[in-house]
Amino acid sequence: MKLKLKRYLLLHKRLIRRKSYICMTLSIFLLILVLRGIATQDSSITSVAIAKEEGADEISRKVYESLSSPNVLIRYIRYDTEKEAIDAVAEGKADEAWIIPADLSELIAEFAEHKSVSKPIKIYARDPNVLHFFLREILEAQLYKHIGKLIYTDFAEKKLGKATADYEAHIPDVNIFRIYDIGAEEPEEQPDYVTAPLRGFMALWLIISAIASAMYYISDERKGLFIYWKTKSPAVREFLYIFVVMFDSAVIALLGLFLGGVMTDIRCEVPLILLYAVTLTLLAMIFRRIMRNEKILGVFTPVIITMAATFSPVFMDLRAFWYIQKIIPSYHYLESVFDPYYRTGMIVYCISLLGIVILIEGFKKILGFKH
Amino acid sequence: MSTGTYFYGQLKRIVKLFPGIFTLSLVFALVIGVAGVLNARHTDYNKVTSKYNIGFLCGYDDALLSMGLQFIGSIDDTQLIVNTFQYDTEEAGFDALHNNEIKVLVVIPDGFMDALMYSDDSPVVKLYAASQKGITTVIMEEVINIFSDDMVYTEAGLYSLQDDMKDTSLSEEEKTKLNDKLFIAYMNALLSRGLLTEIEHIGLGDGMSFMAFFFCGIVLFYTVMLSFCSISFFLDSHTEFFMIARSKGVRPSSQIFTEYTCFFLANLICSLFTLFCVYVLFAANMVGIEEFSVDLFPRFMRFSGYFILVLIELSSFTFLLFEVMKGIINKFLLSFLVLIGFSFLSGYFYPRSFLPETARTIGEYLPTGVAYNVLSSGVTGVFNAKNMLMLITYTVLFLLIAVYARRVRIERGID
Repeated sequence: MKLKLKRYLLLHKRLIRRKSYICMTLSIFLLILVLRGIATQDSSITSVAIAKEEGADEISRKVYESLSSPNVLIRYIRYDTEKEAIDAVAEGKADEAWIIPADLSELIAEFAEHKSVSKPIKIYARDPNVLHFFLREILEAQLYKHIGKLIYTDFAEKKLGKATADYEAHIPDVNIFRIYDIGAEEPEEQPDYVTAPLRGFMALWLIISAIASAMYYISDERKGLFIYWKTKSPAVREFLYIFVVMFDSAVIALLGLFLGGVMTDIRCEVPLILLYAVTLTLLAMIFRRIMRNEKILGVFTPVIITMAATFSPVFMDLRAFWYIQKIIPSYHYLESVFDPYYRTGMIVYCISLLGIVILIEGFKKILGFKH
Repeated sequence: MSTGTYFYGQLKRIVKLFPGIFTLSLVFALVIGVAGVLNARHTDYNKVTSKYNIGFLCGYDDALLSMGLQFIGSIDDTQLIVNTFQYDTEEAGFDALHNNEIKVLVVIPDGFMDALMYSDDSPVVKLYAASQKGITTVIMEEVINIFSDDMVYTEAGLYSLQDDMKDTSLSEEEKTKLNDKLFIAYMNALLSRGLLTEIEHIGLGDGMSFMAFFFCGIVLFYTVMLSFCSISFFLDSHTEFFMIARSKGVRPSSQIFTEYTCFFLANLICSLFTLFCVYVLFAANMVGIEEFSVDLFPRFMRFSGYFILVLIELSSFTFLLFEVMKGIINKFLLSFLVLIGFSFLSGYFYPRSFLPETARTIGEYLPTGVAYNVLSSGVTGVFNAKNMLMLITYTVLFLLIAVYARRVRIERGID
């Protein structure tokens, strides 16, 4: 036991003396710093230039003010004139321009009565696409607030001769929609969409660590390190060697998730990331057997990472080509964190990789290959 | 040894490695191309074929709520971009979520509308998405907020009418009839809401279409990754060789410029072949981007010209990284991490407009960001002298730093 501990500490010491590993670790913390820094600033997916015509009435001013508060989907940019707002769209500074008419009260009254208007509100966009549909819906929802009240008032006065009920009292002032993780009892504090990919980046970084550990192993094997570490089972030795790297990387990744503000329940995070580390250790062993050379491993790294980034929910949740997704380790890990449904799949995947390693070792023994 | 002899030697090295480089570049082009197309289709706001599927789990005790959900899915304009599915049980809803039939499951509790209007405790509508928050869930939230607003303002009017009718002598049947008439008035208003606004399309102007953004990002990411195909060129060279060349009269600057030229030529041949394949796809209408929909040949030639300039700069950047990073692992992994980080900030994966202003500014001035700006000019045809100057400056700077690094490496070797 003492010898095993000594070997672990020596391997660990060897790892943290590698400048490349230190640089890789520092890059993660730099990434977290950058993402946390930019997440504190206002950001949004689209931008809308808004301008109001001269002589705006009360409802025009109210709608204009209500469109100014930033939200995650839209960043509103105010311009003084219609021309400036349109130019902003033409120059690509905004995705759309909304020109709030001065006589919005009359427009709404006309719509409430006739369900059409003679002078619609002007929206300017560069090219037709579905995003503009969403943006138009948001503007119309703002207008519907006032239209809804007017429809009730007109109807009640015509049919009952009065409209005295307090319309606003029936409108809730709290956000009734809450996002829950599947299986959670309490709503989750969802991270900003800017820092949301951080977990995906960590998952990809752990894959890179696995590839690096395979390279370190190849390098140390060539330098004769294992002459001093004889064993009946080189595969177990290799597993332990690579797992030292992956364990340290997993701890760093956990720390990164915590610092990045995307950590969920630690009782789920720790076992999942350790399982992921074991999975990647087995995958690194398979890579080393297929690509026996650091150069080939290195050259295929961008291919592996690109596939992992595409088919697992790092930048987008694709949910297609399931037969490819099922062989990507980061897919299993990232889905398992938020949905217990996928955890069984991750365990099965890990066991399958173990089976593949055992099969390869078995074939090598049968065919008489040296390790 | 003359510089010409040294250049010939490097050329022979790269020619020997070229079959592997070319094959790998095709593999990269295929993987990155497929990844890019999938990414573009997933966030393709140009096509209404990419509908958002939303599942609803609610009781049928509220007729207005059920009718509202049916309305969204079948009559209203939202049916163009949203498919709605209703489920009776949580199990059915979550199965649909796990099987990718829906992107979000909305669980509306029983008695929701009454609780919303009359109770002191606001009911909670739970939204479940299968994975973490990203741009898709942000849009889903906003879509559902719009639905809820329409529902709430409609219901507020109906309940207000009911409040007014309490003090009247109307029979229950008459009250129900009035309620229904008001409901129809609200439905007509919602169905006609599209008439409130009028969209005018002013053309792309100096900007690019959404698909063009993605196309530039894919092409640039491919260009950045292309350098890894030639990495063997850097792995097989040793300080001792550079020292010998130096001793025979080939200065570090000559070494760097000849090696860079060979490296660039390999990248150029691989990327020109890939561009030719892309041109064929455009010509066969298998890929559609608005900017190339007319005058394909001259516009694509213009784009290729700008691409070559960008390739010169990005090749010099990756050349510098490979020259400076020591050891196989650093060359592969650290360079890759640096390039991925720069690519992210420069808008290769997401449009830069998604990022906050500081990040956008940083991304714009990175070498990868400058490359993006110049390549965009190749798409739009709008020449920007500032971007071109920055491109040239970066190229010269990277090569000068590489020369300095080589000089230091040789001198350390001598010492």
